[in-house]
Amino acid sequence: MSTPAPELAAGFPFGPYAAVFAPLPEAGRADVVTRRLGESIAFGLLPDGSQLPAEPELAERFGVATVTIRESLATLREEGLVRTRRGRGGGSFVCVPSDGGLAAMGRRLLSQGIGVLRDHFDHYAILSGGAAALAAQRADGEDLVRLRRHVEREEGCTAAGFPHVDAQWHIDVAASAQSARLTRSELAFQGELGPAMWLAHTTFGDLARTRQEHAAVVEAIGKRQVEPARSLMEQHVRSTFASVRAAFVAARLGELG
Amino acid sequence: MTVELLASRVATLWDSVARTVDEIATQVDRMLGGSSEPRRADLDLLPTCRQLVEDPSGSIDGAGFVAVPGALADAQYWIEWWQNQGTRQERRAGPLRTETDPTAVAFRDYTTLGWYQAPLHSPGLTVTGPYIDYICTDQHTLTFTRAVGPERARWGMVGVDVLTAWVEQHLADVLDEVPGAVVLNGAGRVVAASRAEHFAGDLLPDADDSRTWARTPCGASQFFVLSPVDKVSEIA
Repeated sequence: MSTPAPELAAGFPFGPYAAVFAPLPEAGRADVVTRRLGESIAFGLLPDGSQLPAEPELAERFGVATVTIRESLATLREEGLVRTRRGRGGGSFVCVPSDGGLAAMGRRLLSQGIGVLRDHFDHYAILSGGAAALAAQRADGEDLVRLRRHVEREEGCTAAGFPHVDAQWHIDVAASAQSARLTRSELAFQGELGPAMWLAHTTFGDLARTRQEHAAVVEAIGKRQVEPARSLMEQHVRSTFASVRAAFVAARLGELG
Repeated sequence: MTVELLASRVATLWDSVARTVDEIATQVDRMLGGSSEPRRADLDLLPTCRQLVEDPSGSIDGAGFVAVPGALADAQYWIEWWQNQGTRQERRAGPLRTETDPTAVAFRDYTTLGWYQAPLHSPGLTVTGPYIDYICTDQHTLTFTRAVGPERARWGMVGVDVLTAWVEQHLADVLDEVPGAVVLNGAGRVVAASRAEHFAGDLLPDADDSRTWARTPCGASQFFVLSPVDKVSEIA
């Protein structure tokens, strides 16, 4: 077994929030922790009111000292992104900004630059398309039931809940491709592009069309149509990028949040 | 005959995993059985699971116990699982860190997953996969689980993870002696194949076609050996 991918080396819980609590690129500094947690909260990536892991656990996950975590949480409290309750049932709780993170997300998009974003999405489109093609060859009845159930759940989904469900669907397509590497790539992309995709889906996306695109990919997988599955998935990712681009332009024109 | 030898090797592998899982079950019975209100605080599976995971054979990548929600008095959901967090050669058992508070961020309800559902509805050991276990091993895995506790009031599931890469290595010598042979799970998915003609996780769509494949059961296991029907001898 080769060295496990760093983001999973400590056996993280899977979940759409896994990337939030993955190890940090530069160990040991409070400002790096603050930026990671702060961005995740400010972008609305963590549910409002949810409880953060306990300080010792955060310290272990980020590979920093507990005192560094405390320092970081103090900064986040000052910024109004975290609330702390003491005593039994206490802990640190997420406070999502009142605009749901829109303005912060827009600023982040601008700083990434549209060229960089387009490059990421090109890469993402090819990998996702490849995963869908493999899934068309390798998915079994149970995989299809799971994928179809996702699409059904999207029916009743609000805009706020949609990014989570979409992320989970992508991961399950990669897992149905029987590919550990593509599943890991999918998680990595969601970590990088999560904020952009969130903004795209909740503000500039067409949820009904996204659901249809998901359903079309699942249908192609179910019928074992390899190339249609690939191109439908690539098209879906490109549509998502079109919404990201719209969000980028809006941010640049000062129209977000 | 080598097909029979292969089937027997698969059966032995299954029985050995079953015994390993039984070992964990025995520990859980001992720790929880004495009380009318079993508690997760009574569980200490680390010694047992560490020994299994750190065994140099490398057969067990993860081991532990998962609670039926509400069965334990002091935790609604509970996972006690250790996995190899070292390398394949230098094995080191570490805890699977997972959120068991249903109100917390990153909580995931494991009761919908295949390795939890399957043993709920059948007696004895069940196998899930090969599949990508993205919650735990992050690799292509077979998860073996069985229910533990009184029949009408189960405490949870005990189980082990075995990497398909390990199974492939373990069966290679006998498998390669039977050209065209495939070890298949009950759902028609390849577990291992002779001479890399198929890969773990591949579907064999014509697995039920008796004109193409002869099927040999493997003892008490949920696996089968498929060998190509000898067309030459058929015609002759």
